[in-house]
Amino acid sequence: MAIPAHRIYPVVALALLAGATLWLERVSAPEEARTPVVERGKADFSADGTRLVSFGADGRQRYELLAERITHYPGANGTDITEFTRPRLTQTAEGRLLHLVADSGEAYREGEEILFTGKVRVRRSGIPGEPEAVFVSDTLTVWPDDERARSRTPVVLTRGDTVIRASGMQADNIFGTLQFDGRVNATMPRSGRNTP
Amino acid sequence: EPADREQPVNIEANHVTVDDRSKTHVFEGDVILTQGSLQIRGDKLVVTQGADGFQQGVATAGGNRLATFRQRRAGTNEYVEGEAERIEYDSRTERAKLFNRAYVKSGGDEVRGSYIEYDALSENYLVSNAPGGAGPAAGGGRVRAVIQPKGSSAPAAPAQ
Repeated sequence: MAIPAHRIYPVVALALLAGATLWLERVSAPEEARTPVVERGKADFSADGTRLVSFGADGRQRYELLAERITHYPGANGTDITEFTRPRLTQTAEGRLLHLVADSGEAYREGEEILFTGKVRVRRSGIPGEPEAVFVSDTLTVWPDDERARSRTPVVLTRGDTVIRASGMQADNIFGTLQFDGRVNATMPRSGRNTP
Repeated sequence: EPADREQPVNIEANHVTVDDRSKTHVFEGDVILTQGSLQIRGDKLVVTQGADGFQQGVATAGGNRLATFRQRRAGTNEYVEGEAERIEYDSRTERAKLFNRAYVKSGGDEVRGSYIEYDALSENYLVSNAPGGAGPAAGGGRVRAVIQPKGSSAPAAPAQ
């Protein structure tokens, strides 16, 4: 018994609509939220009051990551996730000390990439004669080994009396060079004048 | 405008690159520098920053456009306005140096040349056909000036 076309049409239309909505939601979600693709399963371990220290091949400490709690979710092919509650990252880059605090963090691929979220605040010491830099945003993704960081949420960078506001930022060599995007606004004090 | 001196420098742009090693900030895309009544616009602005703040800015424009600057004259509502291919502003000396296709207009006075230096403190400007006044400008251009007799605002014929 053939089903008349006008009967099938609504079903097809609704299916297409549902598919398009799902695709739109998947594409428009910020990249951070779309990682990892694999929904996390049950945690296989958790620990409180943790201190993770990473060393380079030369034996020098690369970074130290403290957290009130870490929870590990296993995953195949490097899709496991380590979740941090109130993480505090300390890293040395180019002779400058960097301190980062946030509400939470997630480490992917054995800490190759760490997404920090919630009141992210980074303080980077200056070299002698240079004020420290303070960075504030809602999110910050850090690649510790590459000494790179990126934020896609509004950022404020303060250094001495200079304040830069932007809608996103990328940092190479952990703040060796910074790129700000969106309509950027920078306020700088003027230098002292020549005495006439 | 002397009050400008006490104001912080505010800069807007579409993209900024901060390089710690060279202590430079490169602002790109619809750049507007504001300090009190002073305003400099361009497509790109390279700012050198000392430990105590803004020191120098070099503004340029892309394609055939020119970077521009304007600043209110002390005690008046009149503005000094200028444009050039490159404008260098130094906050220590409070001077704006305009290079190539330089033009400054102040009240009824206008000057055009290859190089103009405007001193915001004394509100004087020096115009020549080459920076430093030596030798002909690349374009061999001449300096043109229209200087209004004091107390009149009617435009006079340009002086050759």
